[in-house]
Amino acid sequence: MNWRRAVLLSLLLVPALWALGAGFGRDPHAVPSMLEGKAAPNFTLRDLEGREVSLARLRGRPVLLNFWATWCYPCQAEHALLQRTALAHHGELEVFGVIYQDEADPVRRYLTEHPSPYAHLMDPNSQVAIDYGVAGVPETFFIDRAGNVALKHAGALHPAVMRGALARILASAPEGQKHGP
Amino acid sequence: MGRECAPPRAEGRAVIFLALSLPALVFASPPPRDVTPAAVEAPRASATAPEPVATGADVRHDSPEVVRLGQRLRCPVCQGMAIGDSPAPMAQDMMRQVRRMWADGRDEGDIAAYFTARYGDWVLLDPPWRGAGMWVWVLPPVVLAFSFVAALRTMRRRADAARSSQVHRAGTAPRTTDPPQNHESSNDALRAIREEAAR
Repeated sequence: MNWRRAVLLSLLLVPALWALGAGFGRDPHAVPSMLEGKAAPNFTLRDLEGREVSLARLRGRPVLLNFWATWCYPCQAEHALLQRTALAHHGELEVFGVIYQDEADPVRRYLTEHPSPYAHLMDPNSQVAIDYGVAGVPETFFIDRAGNVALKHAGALHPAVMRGALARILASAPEGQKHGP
Repeated sequence: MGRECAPPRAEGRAVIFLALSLPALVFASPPPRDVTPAAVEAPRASATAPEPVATGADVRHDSPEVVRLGQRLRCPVCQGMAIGDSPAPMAQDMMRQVRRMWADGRDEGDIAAYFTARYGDWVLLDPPWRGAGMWVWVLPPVVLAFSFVAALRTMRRRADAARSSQVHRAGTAPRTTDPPQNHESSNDALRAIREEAAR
């Protein structure tokens, strides 16, 4: 094989192999995280008791927003971690569950068996889920004191992920102020 | 008999095969950018609710623009389908969102921008002419053109090789008899050997 053919085959093979290698390292079903670093979309939803919750009124406080459903097994797997987190950071962290593609009755039955120290909000027509770019559950958004999405985590939460994300939003400064240490 | 010059058949086929198979790589889904790493353990649940539902697009009542958007936007659950065709409840909710925004007076560009701002360019089934999406449009015609040229050159080379071997065969007739001078010298050699043997 002469050098011209070798160069030609290299020109074909190298980009193809690079594209394959780049693709194999990623999850093809993962949806891009477009809101990180941007303002969290405001919402006003009602919890299972009918009480209204508005994100705008929580400005200045770190918020953990967890999209979940009763039919989602990874959601059930991370539920205990969310419970512990809400209890451990009571008073300094706002935790909310957003019900995704589910009905109120199955959610109430589930929460009766697995009590939760934080409020769960119904999302009619998945309006808030679409606003947040949710593609499936569980997805968790960590919102800092300035009202920006610091991190979006897709999939069940790990303690290590939770620790790192909480450290970021608990140390964040409200809008207009410099960030804390 | 002269030796026939063999054309590079195996190499030519390899070049053609490689060049023609490259479009298959190009048409593979491009990887999403800026993706949050997925959790290590349990796979995410899909967003399909237990009961099956009808698809979101209603061509009888939706405007052509809404139907078009329903075909342009990718379902985040059934990721190979448009939201206008997907049975997933999330797709139907997204169609409802499209209808709401259209009824509010937003145009196609605004509505598409709303979804790309939340899901990324990945949510468009027809990738935009920017970033990684541009390669999806540019590469296939380039690779096809390259494959065509490579195939033409290989066929031409083989035809030239076949022609030159025919010319060589026609120009040089096979020698069935030795030239006279060679025949005479071999006879002399034989005579010399016989004389030597007879002594």
